[in-house]
Amino acid sequence: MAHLSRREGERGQLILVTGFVLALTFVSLALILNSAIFTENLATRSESVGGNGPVETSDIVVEGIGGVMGYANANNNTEDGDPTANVSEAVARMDNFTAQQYATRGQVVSLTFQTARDGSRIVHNNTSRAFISDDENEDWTPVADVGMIRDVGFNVSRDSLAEEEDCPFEDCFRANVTGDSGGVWGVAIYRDGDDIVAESYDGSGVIGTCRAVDTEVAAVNLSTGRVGGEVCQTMRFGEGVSPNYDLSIDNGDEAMGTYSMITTDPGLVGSFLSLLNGPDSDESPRTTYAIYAAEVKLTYVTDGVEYTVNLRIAPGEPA
Amino acid sequence: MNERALSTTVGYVIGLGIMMLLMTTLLIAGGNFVGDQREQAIRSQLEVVGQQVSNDLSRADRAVEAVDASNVDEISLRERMPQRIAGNPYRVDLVTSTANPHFILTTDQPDVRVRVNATARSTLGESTFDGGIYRIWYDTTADELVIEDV
Repeated sequence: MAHLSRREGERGQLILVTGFVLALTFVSLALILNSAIFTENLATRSESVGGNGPVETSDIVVEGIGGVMGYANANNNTEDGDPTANVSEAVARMDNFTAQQYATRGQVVSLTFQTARDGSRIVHNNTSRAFISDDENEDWTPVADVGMIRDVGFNVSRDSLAEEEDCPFEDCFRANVTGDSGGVWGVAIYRDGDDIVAESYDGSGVIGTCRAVDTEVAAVNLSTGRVGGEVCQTMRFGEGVSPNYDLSIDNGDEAMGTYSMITTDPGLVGSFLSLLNGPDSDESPRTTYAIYAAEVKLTYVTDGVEYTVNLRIAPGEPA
Repeated sequence: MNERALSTTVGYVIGLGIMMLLMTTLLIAGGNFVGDQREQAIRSQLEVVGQQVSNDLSRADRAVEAVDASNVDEISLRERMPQRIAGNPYRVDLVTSTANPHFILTTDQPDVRVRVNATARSTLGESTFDGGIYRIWYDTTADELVIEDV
């Protein structure tokens, strides 16, 4: 063996040095890979994984205030400005308790009532009277010349409806929407055996049919396009018709139940007294004061999110 | 008798030569291996960061689209990413000039470039930020979502 060193027991210095350098290299590699794992782990714990707080909160607010508006329109509606004043007060109270509730989760929420659009509500809640006018006309126009109508809902009882053979263009109940452009869109509601059927049509004929199966009472909402609680794809309010709108009823004697709708024209309240009773009356049909839309500013702040938006709330307004 | 034609110097030179060869080979191979692994680790970390930023952008976009853009007073999300990746600073660019808006994440040493798609229905504005704390906010004057350093 060649002598590579001068003394015994001191061989392989170079091998040791190489080994040491390689070891250092691999240790630094381990550190780099460790930081990669750390980054990936951090990602699973960040708020990116959850957190739709602002959107959820605004949905909750819209639904809550929508409910308040519905209540105010139905119950505090005899004086001009009452519904709006009630909604404004309710928003202030809602601001109070949502602030407290969200504060416990480390979130700051604040609601401020901005403006309201006043309107009028046409309501018929006498279930033993057909959908005729106050002066007993079955073909009449409850709403004339308004910019928008929302939440047009009919609750009809099956036994009062005409049979299928007479519909849609003969002797059955129809609600028509006409506009300044001359177009027409409407819905006919009739019975077919045990079912309640709602058929939408326009100037050129029937568009679509939806039915509430085997039921004695059904809710038909022309604005949200729902029949018996189910979505009706073919019912799109005022399709092909542009404002200002008139809503007329044909064969109102062929349906009984309740209905209501909200328009953007506060001048309708107490007008057309031959057709509709005034807000102080209990009789059907009548007009009452109503709030059409409310605008509320929502502020939502957490550590990392700042969200301030103006929400416009008008439940049942066609999209 | 068994030391004929034997030179100590030649012995040393051959021995050291073999050693140097071995060392160099090992160190170069080891160095390359570590370099590759480092680049892969950086690439995967940049992807993770890119996905997180993209997710935050989508969250901000959802918040904007939930109300009409015209009804927005202020929407701003603040998040934190690692300041450095494998000891290197990095940069995130939001590129909107192409058909599909996307994020480009880059480091300088080693030269790594990663692309992550950005999905949003609102308009996005060309912006950039370096690692660390950043903020996604809705610019109401320009009507677009932008990202910036904080």
